Amino acid sequence: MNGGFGPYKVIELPGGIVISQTVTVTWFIMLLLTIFAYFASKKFDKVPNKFQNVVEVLVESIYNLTKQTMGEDKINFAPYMGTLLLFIGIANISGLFGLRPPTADVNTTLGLAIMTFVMVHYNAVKSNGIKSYLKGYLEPMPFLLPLNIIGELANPISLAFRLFGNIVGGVIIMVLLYNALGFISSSLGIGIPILQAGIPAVLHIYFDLFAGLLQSFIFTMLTMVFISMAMD
Amino acid sequence: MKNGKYKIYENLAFVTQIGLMMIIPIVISVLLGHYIDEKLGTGNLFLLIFIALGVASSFLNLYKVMMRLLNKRK
Repeated sequence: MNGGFGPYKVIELPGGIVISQTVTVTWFIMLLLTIFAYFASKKFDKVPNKFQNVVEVLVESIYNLTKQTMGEDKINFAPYMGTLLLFIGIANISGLFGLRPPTADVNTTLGLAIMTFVMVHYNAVKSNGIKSYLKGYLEPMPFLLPLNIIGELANPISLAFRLFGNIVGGVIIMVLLYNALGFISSSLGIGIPILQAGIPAVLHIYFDLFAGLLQSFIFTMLTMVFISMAMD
Repeated sequence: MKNGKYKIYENLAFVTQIGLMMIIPIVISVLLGHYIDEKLGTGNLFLLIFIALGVASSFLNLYKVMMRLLNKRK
């Protein structure tokens, strides 16, 4: 695990394109999800086996969540929301395996938030028409136009920075803890940093598992709420 | 029962979001106002204008979100 801030370069391609650890870990997660999707949808039995049961529960609960939050008519968003939930969830818990979570990089979270932003405005135009969409900026009064524009621009930034801040905070605390435990065990005269085993597990459960899964859920939830608010 | 369970999560999501929705428009406007002041050399004029805009904008944003959520509950 490397330090909190700044990209960790893996390789630099010719032309000054840097492949950072964020990108490689994202590739790895993409591969993992693709393999999972391939095996999960390969063979369906009438009487499901254990693996198929788990997949069915997952898909059903994502559809249920979308239906409850966005309404019956917007059920078509469920695949996108499920992808978002799985990707951010796995990205957040990748810290458990000693990788640096891609969501600890503001580029990833801002990219995800911009995707949400584009979807919100595209669907608002699509469902209400361009005229009433533009008129929405002049409500409740026409002179509030600059306020409405600043407010709309603030939404993706607050989405991105909440996720980024939560994850990067956890990463930094874990790095500090590992360094401190290594220092303590070396000053006790033990050659192997024996204290680094076991003690960080509690904080890993909180920061990576609990906060990570909660944040992925909240990001998905807010995406759903923003899209359904823009469409109504 | 199921409906109530999801409502709790939705509210939890908003609890963590609303603080940021309050502060981010103000931060954006302060940075924008400062940038315009530096470009034009107008002292603190645009900074003050944009701070006022940012505060009003964050209030309006929160008011709209809260009103829509409350109307949905009814």
